[in-house]
Amino acid sequence: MGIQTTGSQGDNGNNGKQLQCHQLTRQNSMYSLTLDEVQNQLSDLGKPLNSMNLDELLKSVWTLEANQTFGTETEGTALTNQTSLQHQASLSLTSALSKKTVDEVWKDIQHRKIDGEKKSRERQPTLGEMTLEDFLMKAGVVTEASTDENVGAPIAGVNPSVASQFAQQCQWMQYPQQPQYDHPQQSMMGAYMPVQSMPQPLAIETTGVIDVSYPENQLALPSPLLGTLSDTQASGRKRGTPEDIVEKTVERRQKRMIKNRESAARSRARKQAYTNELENKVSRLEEENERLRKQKELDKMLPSAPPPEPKYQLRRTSSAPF
Amino acid sequence: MAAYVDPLVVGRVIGDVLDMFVPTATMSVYYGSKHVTNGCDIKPSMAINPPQVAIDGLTDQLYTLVMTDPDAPSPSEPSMREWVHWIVSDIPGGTNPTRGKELLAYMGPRPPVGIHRYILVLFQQKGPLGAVQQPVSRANFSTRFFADYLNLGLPVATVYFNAQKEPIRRRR
Repeated sequence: MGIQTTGSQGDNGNNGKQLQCHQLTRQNSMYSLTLDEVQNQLSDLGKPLNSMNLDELLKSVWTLEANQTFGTETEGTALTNQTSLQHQASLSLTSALSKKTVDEVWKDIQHRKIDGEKKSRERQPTLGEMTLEDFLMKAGVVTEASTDENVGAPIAGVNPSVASQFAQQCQWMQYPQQPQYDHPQQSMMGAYMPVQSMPQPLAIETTGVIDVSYPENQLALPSPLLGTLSDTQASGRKRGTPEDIVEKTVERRQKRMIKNRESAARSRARKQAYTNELENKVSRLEEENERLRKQKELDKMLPSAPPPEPKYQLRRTSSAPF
Repeated sequence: MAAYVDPLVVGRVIGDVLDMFVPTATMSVYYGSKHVTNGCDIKPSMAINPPQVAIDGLTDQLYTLVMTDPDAPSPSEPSMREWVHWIVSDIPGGTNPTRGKELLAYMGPRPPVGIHRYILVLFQQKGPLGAVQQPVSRANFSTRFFADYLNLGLPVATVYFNAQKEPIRRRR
């Protein structure tokens, strides 16, 4: 989880910050973990996950991440940047969202779900098994309920508005993602994708803008987004261009990455489930073992002789003398 | 009690197939001599025949057992979730599925791609089921829906195992 030195690490300007964000999500240790796994890691924080405020949840996640990265950190600057980013992010959470506990947000999410998207089956209906990322994204979606319909919005208009959305949403990244965003749009998208799924939910409140076209389903995440952007370009251009091809490869790469991530999550879940089961079994067996040992001790201690057999009593000795 | 359900939650059995429940019966499943515990690995070659299932529930109660695979055809693209492998109903408590009515014949695991979960779910019936419409197809089965349809309520016991395609031994 060290800082990747692609690009200029020393450049602490826009690029630097952006790299930070990439790294935050590429490290991705916390955000792609399921909430259950996060809870396990947070277990020593003393408070159950469900009743935490989102604020506390995020802070504790970041503390954990900071601790993790700190262990592998070699550059102090990177770490301070990261913590400063975290502070910015926490500031951008509106009071409304942050005060809600995880439980309340979860209920909202479930209501939203019932209100009807028949999206894919990728949705995990149980709180604990959602990834942190998904949860935060959905939390963001929840408060922006009314804007969900805008998916079908005119595509031509998307480009500039999406660009501004990005700018706004990335408040905590703060840097003019916009200029970088406008030009090499396609290549940016590639770099953008992993980043935006994280900062989005955090910054969503302040912008009042949607993450509409960013459906919860991670599988579909890159394609509609890329779709909207590529459409904006394609609307002006009707023939296949090198940019389209690049974009397709980027899209494929994204899909593969997401599939891989899900597969990794499943693998972790599998391992964890088996381990849990074994631990339970062991504790059950130990208890039974203890119990049986105690039983054996008790049996040994009481010198209980078998009751005298009646047939040896030729004389009546135990009944009343009538 | 929650500790005993954790593997089911972590393994996403509760979520993908079932809703949260509290186990009130115990069921022990054996494929031959291999005891099935949650999340253990079973080779498809060991599971060609139905397992031995000992149900300890109440003797005057009837139980229904469903075996289903939510990861069909592949865990990353479960377009046929769930694939139902076995349905036995009217199993008297304290006995095993051979004493029940097999509504859908047992089909052993045959995972084409990836590592699939195979879930055995036990329901307690409220009474004899009578005529039950056999599922039209094994694909796209829904255990939840089935339980609703037969008014089975929440499961009383569940165990699941993993299985993947066995590598074909190359004969040289």
